[in-house]
Amino acid sequence: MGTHLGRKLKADQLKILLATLVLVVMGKILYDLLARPDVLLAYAGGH
Amino acid sequence: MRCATIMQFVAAAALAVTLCAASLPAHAAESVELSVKPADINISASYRGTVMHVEGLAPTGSEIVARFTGAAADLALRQKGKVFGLLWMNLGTVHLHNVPSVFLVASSRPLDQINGSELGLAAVRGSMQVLEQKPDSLDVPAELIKLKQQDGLYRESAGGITVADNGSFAVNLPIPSRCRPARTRLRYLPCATAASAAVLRLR
Repeated sequence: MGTHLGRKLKADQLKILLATLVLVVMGKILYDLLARPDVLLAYAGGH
Repeated sequence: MRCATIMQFVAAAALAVTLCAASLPAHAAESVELSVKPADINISASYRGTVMHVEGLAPTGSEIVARFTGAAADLALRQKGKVFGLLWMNLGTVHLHNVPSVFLVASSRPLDQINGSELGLAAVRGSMQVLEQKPDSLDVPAELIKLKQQDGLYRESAGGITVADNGSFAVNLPIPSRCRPARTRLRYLPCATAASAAVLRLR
């Protein structure tokens, strides 16, 4: 699917698409850090 | 990857079927019959939960409460808090004692209407102990119940139980996919409550 999409789009369009993806992920991480979680406990891992 | 072995049951489970009625005869508990299907749950890589079907015959006029509980164990959880008054992050560790891994309750009517509140999640809340936590006002048991409810491991629901006029009942209890493999025994444990209700437990 990615290869098919890559053939159809121009290089600069792909860059904009990937940059948008990075910005969306960044926005999600920022929201998770700033918004109050629904549950104030989390499973502890790594023990 | 999940354990691919066939286990006799799930999550060190104790399935309790409780019958509540205002005035049951003393021998009511003895007359209850139960059958549980499936007796074996295969937890393989493709296991995505299942539905446990319980059928039985109880004295007429009974209300049915089916409870599926996992083995109680100690649990360590991360507690979230604010850093610099802005960012929500994991700050400390909370240690809890006597926390059931699974706690699923289904009842023919809402528990508070049949004086069975102590059979629901309130029982978990009352039995667990917070051994160590940060000095703040966080209601740890309530947050734990919310966390487990998000995973489908704790559930209290009215419905899912059909009771016929002759006392026969059927329970469909969805078992979540996150249950751990374990073995358990089934046994009947009849006893009487203060409200003169007959109680039968299948473990």
